[in-house]
Amino acid sequence: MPTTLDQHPLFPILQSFKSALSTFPLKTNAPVHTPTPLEKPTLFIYGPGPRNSALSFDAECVVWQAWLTSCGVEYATEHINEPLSGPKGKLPFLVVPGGKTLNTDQMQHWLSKNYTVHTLADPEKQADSQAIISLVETKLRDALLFSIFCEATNTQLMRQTYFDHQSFPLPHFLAHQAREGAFDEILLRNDTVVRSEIYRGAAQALDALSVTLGEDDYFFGSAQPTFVDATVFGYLHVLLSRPVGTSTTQPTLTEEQLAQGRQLRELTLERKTLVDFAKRCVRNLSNNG
Amino acid sequence: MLQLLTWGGALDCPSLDPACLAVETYIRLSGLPYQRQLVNNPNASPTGDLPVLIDDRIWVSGYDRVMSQLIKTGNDLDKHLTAQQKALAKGYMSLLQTTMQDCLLFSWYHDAKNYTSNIRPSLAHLIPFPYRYIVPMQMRKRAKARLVPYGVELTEADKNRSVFERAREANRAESVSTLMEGGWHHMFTRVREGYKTLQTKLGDQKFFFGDSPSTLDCVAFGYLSLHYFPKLARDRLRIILEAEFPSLAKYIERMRDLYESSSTLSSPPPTAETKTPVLPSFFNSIAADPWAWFQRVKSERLVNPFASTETGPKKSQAELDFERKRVWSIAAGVFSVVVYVVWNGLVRIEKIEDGDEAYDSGMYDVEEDEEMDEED
Repeated sequence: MPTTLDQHPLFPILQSFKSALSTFPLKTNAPVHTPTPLEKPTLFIYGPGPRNSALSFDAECVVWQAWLTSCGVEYATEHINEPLSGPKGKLPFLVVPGGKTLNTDQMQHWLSKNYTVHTLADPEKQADSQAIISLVETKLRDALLFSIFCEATNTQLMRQTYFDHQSFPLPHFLAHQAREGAFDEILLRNDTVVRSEIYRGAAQALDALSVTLGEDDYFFGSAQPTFVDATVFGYLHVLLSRPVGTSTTQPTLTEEQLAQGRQLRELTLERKTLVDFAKRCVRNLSNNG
Repeated sequence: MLQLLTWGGALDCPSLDPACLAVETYIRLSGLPYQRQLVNNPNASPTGDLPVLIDDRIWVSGYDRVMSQLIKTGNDLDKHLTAQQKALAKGYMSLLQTTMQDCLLFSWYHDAKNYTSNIRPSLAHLIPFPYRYIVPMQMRKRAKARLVPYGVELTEADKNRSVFERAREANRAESVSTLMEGGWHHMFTRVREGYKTLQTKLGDQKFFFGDSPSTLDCVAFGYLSLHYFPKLARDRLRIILEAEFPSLAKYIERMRDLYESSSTLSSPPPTAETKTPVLPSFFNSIAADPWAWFQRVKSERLVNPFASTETGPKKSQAELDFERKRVWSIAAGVFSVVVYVVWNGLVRIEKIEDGDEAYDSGMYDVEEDEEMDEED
């Protein structure tokens, strides 16, 4: 009876088997594609959009582009247009050197740890800024979703900007899905989806923003842009910069449909203070970025 | 006289729906006489959302529309506010209606214990008969959709849990460990941020904008009272408010006193005779006059489905063909189900003879045999 392993009758066979296996892999080739290690944080966004601008065509992405720039972060942008590659299934997300992927909540935390984040010194003003952010993310967001995804005039542009990187029938399916998703999101905050009510809500929100901003450069008289400025700017920029359908680009649509597609943009253009604010922010971003 | 159709009170709260409570507070504080009917049934509303305000012959439903109707009648609680304050109030109202309400839904529906031992029984108690089996499920479904953007998933409260597990859960003492269980969820961080924002805005003032109440106070009371007053199995929101935001908690109690003391301004609630008409619905029409309902269905559907009605427009040949095909396909479907059921023996038709008689006669046979044996 063998007591140790090397006295086992099968030991030489196992040994030769092991030595044969150890010769693999026979040859190791250099990798065909190695991802270059990140030198600086990279923000993955929707882009480049119909105007081929550095700023995204999606409001949330513009908010974060503006906010990272305001905090003095040197970052690169990557146009990915594929929300499911993000950690929460939506864009934008940030990949920092070292390979960590951060969603928007984590980005805020990361910024406050590594950079100087401008906040409002007065706690009451800070509370007011939270309220304004909430207003933008509900009333203005509903109107923007409705205008981009549900208005007949803007459907074609929405499909081209969000889904045209996919191959043929997919953009049509995905655009339909996105439209349904937008309806569902609006219905979470409203009992019905009625165009006139949604745009009335947006007009009231825009009035509230315009009154709150007043004559100041930034919200609540701050010398530096804060997160509320970035949020308001993100939505205003998309509202103002998005091309609207005309009778030449979309000859099949009626004049009434074309007017409905323009309505939200016109509501914004009527508020001169907000248009000036958006222009000021774009200038600052191009100077800093 | 204004009539308000709302959700009734439960769990130590004047109403189980924040928007209804906000509107009612507004009406009371603006001193308008009104009648209240606790319908507890979203079907009473044209848009499926309570409150409904009936002003003479005008019906308006949903918080935003009701408020604009109230302001139209010349009762604006925000008259004393500046344009800037009105703008900020809109922002705070959005905060209460979205983030804070979502945190409440999280506490009600995500915590299985709260849902099974407080919320579901309260809803079942409030909602009238046939709807109590439908409406709570719809409400939960809506809450589920609202919580998805926060990455919160609602699981079935009773699914995969045996009767014993549920009993053990119900009897488990509220120890520190069970309190801590799930107590660090990011939704509680959100709710704390919300409370902090509101408490900072409130400061040392009596109301959000000085010494007289505004719409924001009504909305804040409507939404926050559901955070504060209900004594749930796991009332974390209440504990957070009491322990960490005492001045906000005091404000909610102050608003409740005001709400209750202003009720003298309104007329007494309607008696059973002065019932408000409720919109016709499937169950209502059956309940109101079953015979008329049956007659209507019979004349419209059963007697002659192919004949065109005298009053309505004449049906085209294509429509008649379609209806004929529909009836045949339904009949074929029903027939095949019956055949399937009988064929597979799910329901068996057997003729059974009277067992007792057979048994008895057998017994007699045996006895007869024995007797015969004995005779042998």
